[in-house]
Amino acid sequence: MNYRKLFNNIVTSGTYDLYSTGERSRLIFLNLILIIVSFLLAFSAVRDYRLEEYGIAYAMAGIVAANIISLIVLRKTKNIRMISYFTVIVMFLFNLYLLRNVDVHGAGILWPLSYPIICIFLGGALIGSLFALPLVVFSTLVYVTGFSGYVPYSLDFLLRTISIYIFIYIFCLTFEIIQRNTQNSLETATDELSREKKQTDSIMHNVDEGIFLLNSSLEIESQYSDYFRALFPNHQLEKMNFIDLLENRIPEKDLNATRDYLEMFFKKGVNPELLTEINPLEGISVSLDSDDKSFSEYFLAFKFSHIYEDDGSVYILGSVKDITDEHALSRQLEEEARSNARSMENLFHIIHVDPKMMIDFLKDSEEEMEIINTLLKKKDSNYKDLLVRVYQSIHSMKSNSLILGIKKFSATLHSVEEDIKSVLEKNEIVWDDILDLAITLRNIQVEINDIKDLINKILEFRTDFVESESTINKGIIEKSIERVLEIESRKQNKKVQLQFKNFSSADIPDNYKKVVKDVFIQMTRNSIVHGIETPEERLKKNKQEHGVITISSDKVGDTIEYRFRDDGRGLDIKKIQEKLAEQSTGAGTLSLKPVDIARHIFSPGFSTLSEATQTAGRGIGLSMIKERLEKHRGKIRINSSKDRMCEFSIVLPAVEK
Amino acid sequence: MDKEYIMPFVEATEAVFMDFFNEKPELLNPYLIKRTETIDWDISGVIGIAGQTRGVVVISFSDSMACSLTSRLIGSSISEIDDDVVDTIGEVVNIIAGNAKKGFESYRLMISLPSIVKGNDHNIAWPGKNIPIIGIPFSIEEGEFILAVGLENIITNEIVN
Repeated sequence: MNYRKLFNNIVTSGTYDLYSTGERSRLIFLNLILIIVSFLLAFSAVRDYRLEEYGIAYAMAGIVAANIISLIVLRKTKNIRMISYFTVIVMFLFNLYLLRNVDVHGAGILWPLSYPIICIFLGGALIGSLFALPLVVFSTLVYVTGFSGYVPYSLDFLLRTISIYIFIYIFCLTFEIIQRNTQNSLETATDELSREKKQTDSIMHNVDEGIFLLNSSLEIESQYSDYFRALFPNHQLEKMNFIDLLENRIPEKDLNATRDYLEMFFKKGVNPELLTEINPLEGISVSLDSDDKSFSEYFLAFKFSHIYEDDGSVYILGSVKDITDEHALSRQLEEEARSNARSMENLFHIIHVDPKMMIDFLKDSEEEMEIINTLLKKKDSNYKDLLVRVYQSIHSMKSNSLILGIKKFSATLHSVEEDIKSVLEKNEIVWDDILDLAITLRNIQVEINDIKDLINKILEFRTDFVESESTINKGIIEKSIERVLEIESRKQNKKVQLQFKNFSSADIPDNYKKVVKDVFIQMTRNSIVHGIETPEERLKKNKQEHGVITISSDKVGDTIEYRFRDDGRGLDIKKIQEKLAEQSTGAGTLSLKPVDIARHIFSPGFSTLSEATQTAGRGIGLSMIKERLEKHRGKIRINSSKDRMCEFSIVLPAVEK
Repeated sequence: MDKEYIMPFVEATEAVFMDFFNEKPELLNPYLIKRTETIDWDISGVIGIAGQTRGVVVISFSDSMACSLTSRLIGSSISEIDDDVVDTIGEVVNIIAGNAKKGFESYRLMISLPSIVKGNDHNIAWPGKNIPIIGIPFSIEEGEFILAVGLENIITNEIVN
């Protein structure tokens, strides 16, 4: 049982918080008077009754009864004013009775001395005085008229009593006035304070920024803005450690940095400007609770500054703003700027190329990517074989992009080739290398997507293109070959003419288009690099200054034959033989027939050039051709004559089975 | 995209399978997954990644594998996806994410708690516009499951110390 509570309940009639401080103290006083007076009088009444002073005993008992009734009514009605006056009047009457009847040993005069206290404190300064003064008048009357039934007061006794009475009265009056004034000024001050608090609160509720204070243990103080509250809705923020609050919301590395950083605020002699500069939370992505418990990422910008109190204590004033949208926007702008920079580089190259060829190029590239991906999905753990095949596809993409002059993309592919080559040279190829490859492919895919976006944008401007879409493949192979020829002959300083005989890409069955194109492009390149001589050399050999490449096709029975012929120096059997000897252990190669030697130009990794450039020298082109042709059940024939010509014939079934 | 962001997940997956199923999964060739492709994805744990790079890592199982793995753990056979299976897979993915987190201590990266997605051949809404997805298949006794990684290129210029 809580006695304090019980006491509070009794003296305030069960209403502790209902009244202002002034009213409350009056209520407490009233209750106390009623209770104490009742006890005292009850005690006296019993005593007087025993002394056979029945009159006074009954009077006292009556007052006790009246007080108890007052107590009950007060508790029920809470009517302080009425009960106050009633109590004052009851006490007045009781005191009159005492004055009149003098009581035992003339002690009746003692009780009235407490009357001004009751009057003033219950009735207030003015009304209390009105109640207090009549008693003086009455006691004087008692003296003058001799109204008292018992021993009359002596004049001296009366005067002294009245002096004490007036002294007590004035004392109470002064006290009441002082107390009232103090109370009033206190109330004014409280009003002022609460108005200021309201203003602070309304700032804290409405400010569009998280504001909070941290003490020296990095705990959050009680005053913080609603904005801050809203960022961390599921936490009791007050007295919470700021570092604990951020735990698991920001990377651990940043969390540790933040702890160290905030602790620096409480060290002496730290440069505030430096502190602003090294703020680890200046812009940080934070994961916050959201209602559905899912992961939500925000970007917050924190700022911290010192607050020095007069008493020497130091606080950190923290402010935080949610800049998720701004950050996302700037990130997007950055990414766009980067992607635009990438695009610009490609754009210069792409804009000059026929969109049809670009679309064809994209189709081819995606096809190659698909080929690679299918290879990867095969779960073949022969990594070496896998990488060689991937290399071929990359190579094919590279030569296509070279034809179109998309330099950036071909440079990327070239470095991928380099990487694969160096992996192939390792003793043991491990899964990690394949993961690297997958990541590289991913990056290539990103570049392809970029180019695709770019071409689509270009196409939007070239509306005329839509109409000719039905003839999308017309002449594309011819055009591609022409381009390779142009680029390569310029690079090699050779003069070459191109002739088509009975050849049109439109006539090539769809499923052969790619392989035919790949083959001819590869051969054109080979022919210009290896086969056709420089103009000077040709003149020396009594040939025309410019070489001639002839591409033709024929239908022979149930096969189609595509022929590629140049009038260059023919296959250099000797050089091939030398290279073969160099690459293998050399055993037996010298005894090989020229036909068998020629076959080796289709082996992967074989090249007569000693250094690889972007165009040639990797020994991949021909081996890829062979493999691709085999897939289509195609065959390849070589016909070569020294210093006169070299002819490759591709024979494919007219209808693929 | 960086290998360093993928390896912690691969290693964590291997470690968790060793610890819980006493089987070291075999790593098959990683390949690219099309953004719209579904590969027997019946139940997936999706882990969000934020910070230096952004995106999701998804660990995906087929119905039958999810059931079989759960059976292995609780000891009684289960043939249909029920709450137990979802909870178990959720917990396994959760532990993998937790383990992987250790590998990221030197990076400014946050890893979310995984959320579980259920439904036959469901699609994953991959973040970003054009980001290709790398799939890493793991082979265990029951078959294959896939760890799929879709992360943005690193584009932050923040100083990493």
